[in-house]
Amino acid sequence: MAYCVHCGVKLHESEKRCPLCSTVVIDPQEPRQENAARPYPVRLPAQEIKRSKRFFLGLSTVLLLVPGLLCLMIDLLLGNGLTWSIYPGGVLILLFIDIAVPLLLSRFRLPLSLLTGFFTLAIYLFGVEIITQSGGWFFPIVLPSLGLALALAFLTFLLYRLKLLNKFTLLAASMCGMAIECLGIEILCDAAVYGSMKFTWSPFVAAPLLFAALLLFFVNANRAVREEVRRRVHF
Amino acid sequence: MNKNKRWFRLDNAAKLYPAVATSRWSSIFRVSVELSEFIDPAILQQAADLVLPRFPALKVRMKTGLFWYYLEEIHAPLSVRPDQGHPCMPFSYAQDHGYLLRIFFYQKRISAEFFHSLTDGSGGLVFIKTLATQYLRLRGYDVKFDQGALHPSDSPDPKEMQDAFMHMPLPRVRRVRRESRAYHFPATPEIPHTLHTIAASIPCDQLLEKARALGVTLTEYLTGVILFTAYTEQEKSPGKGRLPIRVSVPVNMRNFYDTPTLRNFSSFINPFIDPRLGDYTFEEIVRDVHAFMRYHLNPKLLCATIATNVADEKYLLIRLAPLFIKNLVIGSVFRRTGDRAFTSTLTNLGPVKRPTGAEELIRRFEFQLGSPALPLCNCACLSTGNELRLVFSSNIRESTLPREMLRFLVEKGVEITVESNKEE
Repeated sequence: MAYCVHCGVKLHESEKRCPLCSTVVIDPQEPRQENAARPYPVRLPAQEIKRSKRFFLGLSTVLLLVPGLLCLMIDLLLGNGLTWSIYPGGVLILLFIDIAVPLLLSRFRLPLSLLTGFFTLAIYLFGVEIITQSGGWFFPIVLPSLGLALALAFLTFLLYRLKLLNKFTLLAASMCGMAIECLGIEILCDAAVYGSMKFTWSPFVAAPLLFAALLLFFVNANRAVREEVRRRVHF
Repeated sequence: MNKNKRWFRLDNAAKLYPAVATSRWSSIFRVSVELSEFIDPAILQQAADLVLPRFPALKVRMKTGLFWYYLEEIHAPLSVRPDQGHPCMPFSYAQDHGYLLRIFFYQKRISAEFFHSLTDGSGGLVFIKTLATQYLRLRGYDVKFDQGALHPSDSPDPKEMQDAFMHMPLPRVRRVRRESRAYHFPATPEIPHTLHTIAASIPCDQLLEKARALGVTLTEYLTGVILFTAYTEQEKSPGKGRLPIRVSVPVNMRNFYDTPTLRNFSSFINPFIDPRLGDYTFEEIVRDVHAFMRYHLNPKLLCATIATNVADEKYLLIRLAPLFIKNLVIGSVFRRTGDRAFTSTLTNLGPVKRPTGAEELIRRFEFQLGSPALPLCNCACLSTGNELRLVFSSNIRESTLPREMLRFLVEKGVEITVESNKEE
């Protein structure tokens, strides 16, 4: 039996390192036996519960079909043909695509889901503009807003994948992105409606978001505070 | 069919555990026995089948009532299993017919894990002793059902299943239970379902010699070492405010009130030091712990603590509140207070005697606490013969408490052997 040179305790013959201080066990006179019986069993890898994609796809189809059909029936029975039910129907189709795409993808799940979400939402809103014949809001406001949101989401995702962001800074960067998005939406709306910037509501949304983001950056920079937060909010 | 099944109310202490249990954490402990020969699973299964009917309070599943949880008898047998993975993982009420007891075997060791609502460490020890004795008898050894091992063919005494808290004379007083937040070692939480185990074997005579030199008991000495270790660690980061250091020490109430109950019957005392008052030496801490224990290990004070808990349970408004509301309230109080008030827990089951005829066949008993609710390290110990088995259980990456505590004892000249379930 070897002793830990740091702790001074005798170690069980199966220990490669001292369990107290992680110092490697080296005993030139009695080299460690690789097949020594361990005092405790080797931990089996946690069993992952495999969820059936087909099941979830079927379930979401049923869950979305029921309200869709209900809207359609009510619209057809009470109204004069297809009127308002097109809009909730469109939203349900959007939801289905947003659920189905990540389920069907095995690689690049997040970026491809973001792209699909962007295009389907853009098509839906463009369709709404055409059907309602209320031209003038899709191209100057909606499309650039969606484009900005997509660009910010991609940038955050890229920074995270490049390991430039951790969990704290990811949340902070997302908050910064939301603040920029709010400011962007108001700029686009003001430009389209008034032709000038007024900044009436977006600073009130952006300011607390940026403050919270700064707080998170601070927590991230300060190791002691970060550990304290992690200790208290771990789950 | 249900009419044939007996049911039991949860005892006063047991009511807490199902309310705060989640799929990631629940209060579980493990009692093990290490034999001198490898375990034969078939014979162990036979022994478990023979022994379990003697413990009706363990052959139960948790059921949900409108106002309280209750335990319902199980007729199905319990399968013994090879020990795999980390100890004291949460129970699923849907698995193993709903058993809240698991029996494992690994090499020469038999382990039983109990959900704390069923019993406490002393009850668990009686079960594992009985199981080990029955196993050895089936192996052909002449071992007697004595020294705490019950005879499986005896019919269970109804008093073994009684809620002893309700049968003891309690004063009509209430004690203030609020404890301030205590110091916790800096810790990085491990992923869920992880319980690091470090077991230290210490010669009892060497440790007792150190304790007696200071005029204290072994539990007081070990509590003092934990407090001193935490005190030293806290002093390493002087920039932060100092917090009290408090160790929760469960007390076996059977030592004060004679009862054969095998269900929960323990209370707690919490010796502490407050570094805000000034500097401490080890000797000073041990002396304080000794004085604290002498004063608080007093039936009147212990009863007053229990009376407070029992009074809560008997309060009409609480009794009439639906279970989900009780769960919400208990859960929120537990999360807000719970382990926050303690730096660590030290439970000592004391010297355990081997059944007659098993002195050479049983190498040691072992007691281990399950995962703490917060990122902490808890200790449990008992002694078999001249060996004290001290087991640290933690859900954190660091080994600060066991490392510093055992190094301290080594420096005092105590010889320690360590083993762990840590992998590379």
